[in-house]
Amino acid sequence: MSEGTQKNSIEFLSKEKSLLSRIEENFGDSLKEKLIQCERRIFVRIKKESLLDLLKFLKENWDYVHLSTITALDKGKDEDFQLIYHLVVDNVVLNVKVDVPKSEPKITTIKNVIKAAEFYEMEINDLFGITFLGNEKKERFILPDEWPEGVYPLRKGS
Amino acid sequence: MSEYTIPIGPIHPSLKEPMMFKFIVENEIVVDVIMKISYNHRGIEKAAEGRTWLQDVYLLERICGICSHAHTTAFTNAVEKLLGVEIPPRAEYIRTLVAELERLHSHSLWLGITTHLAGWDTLFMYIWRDREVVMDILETVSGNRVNYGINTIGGVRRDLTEGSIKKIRKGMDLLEKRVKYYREVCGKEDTLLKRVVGVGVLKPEVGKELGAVGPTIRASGVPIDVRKDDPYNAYDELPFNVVTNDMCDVAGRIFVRIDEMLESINMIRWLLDNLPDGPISIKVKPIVPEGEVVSRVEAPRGEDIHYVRSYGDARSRQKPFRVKVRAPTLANWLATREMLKGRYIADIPIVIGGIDPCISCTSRVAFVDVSHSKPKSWVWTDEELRVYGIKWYQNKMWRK
Repeated sequence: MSEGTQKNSIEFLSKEKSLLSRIEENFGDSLKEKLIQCERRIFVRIKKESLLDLLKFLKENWDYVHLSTITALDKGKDEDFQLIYHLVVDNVVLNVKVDVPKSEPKITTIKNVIKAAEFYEMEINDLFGITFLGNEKKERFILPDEWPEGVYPLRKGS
Repeated sequence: MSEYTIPIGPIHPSLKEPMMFKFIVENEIVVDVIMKISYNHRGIEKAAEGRTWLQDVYLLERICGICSHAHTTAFTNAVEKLLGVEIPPRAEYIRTLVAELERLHSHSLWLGITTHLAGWDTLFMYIWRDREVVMDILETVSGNRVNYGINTIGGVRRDLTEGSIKKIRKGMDLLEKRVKYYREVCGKEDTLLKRVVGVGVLKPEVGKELGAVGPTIRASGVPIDVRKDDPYNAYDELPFNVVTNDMCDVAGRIFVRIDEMLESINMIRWLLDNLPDGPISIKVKPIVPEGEVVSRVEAPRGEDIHYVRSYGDARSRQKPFRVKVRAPTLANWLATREMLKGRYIADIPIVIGGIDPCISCTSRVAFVDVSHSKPKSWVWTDEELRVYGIKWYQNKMWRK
């Protein structure tokens, strides 16, 4: 019984391992961290510049890449922002982390690759003040229209 | 042909919740839609950072009045994973049971509103009468009709009794008959079908591209369901089918939800038949170590995802460092925009209604002091809000 269960879990994690190894093969240089946390959960951290290429690679090789949402994280005063793109590939939640410097909070939009990102990026732009080049705001999305410039409610210690 | 802009909202007789739409129209045809979804933004993510892990369970329950259980399930599942504890099987089953009861009440609420939007108020009245059966069951099981408060970190707060199990079984028998009847009348009633067939079309590839979730994408024939794809609680043991429909329109969304209701009734029966014995919760110390968890659940409207981050140090031992919530409705707005383009103005209410929008889910209690030279933001406490409210009413002209 225990052997069977073990075998199953190895077979099961194989999906996660093969997904991660294919990312490693193609993006080994820009991969900073990688972790298979448990069944169906992978965390990777990559260089900002490689994000679009990774998304394009995923879209070309898997027929359905679903972007669940984008999380922005302010880790503290002297640390960079982190964006986490929660993608679902082959029923595995692939969380792609990207660091965005606080001194220049700008990153290229991914909405031309994954259209679903449009509203998630607009939300982060309002709440964190991270500019998504190519998806710049025309007006407020989440915050009220009279909200002052330069105040970002979800930033820490401001 | 010149284009006009029709603003609808934020407060409008045909909207159930505050939201702003600007419809750019050419004659009677919608060309584009600009959406402003923030009129109910309450800053819950920020508020969650200022409360303890346990208080957050009750705060996050209030994100939505209809799928409240989905949000607490996602959050408690995440916190339990961070703590590294497993809750007793009976608790898993009760969580799943309440989730399915919630789906039943949410889908019947939606079906009622949709038939009302289509101009068929008789069925709306019937459905909402029958919905009371589920509401009564939920009240018996949890003590509450909407914000059930059944989830807690480490299990559930109330056990099922012999009496409540009997009541659920009786209610399911009655509802099954009624839902089958709705399936029949919705399938052959021309007044409804003429209003919904071919309206609000979402092609599967477009829906996938725009990240649509839940019954909205399943009605385009895409079998995506977090309960099946990423099982949590008792869903890995529970046998059920993922309901899809190839009609890709509002009619498809009606049939998907009706069939899901029948599926939920069977799931509830199975859960009661196989309900394990034992405790319903374990004691946990909510002192959370470092870690991050992505927790997904299938809310009645689709995939609900929570991201919870803890640092395990002074920053987040007692309070979460970050709680990110993405409710299903936000994922469906882009798809709705596509559904509306090229359609008549008259189709707007039924198409928007068709995704079962929940505007509260896109979460405002944050204030900014603009008079200071340095802008500063803060959050009001309950007491400050209460004092402000009393003062405001006292200063009203008619009170003086």
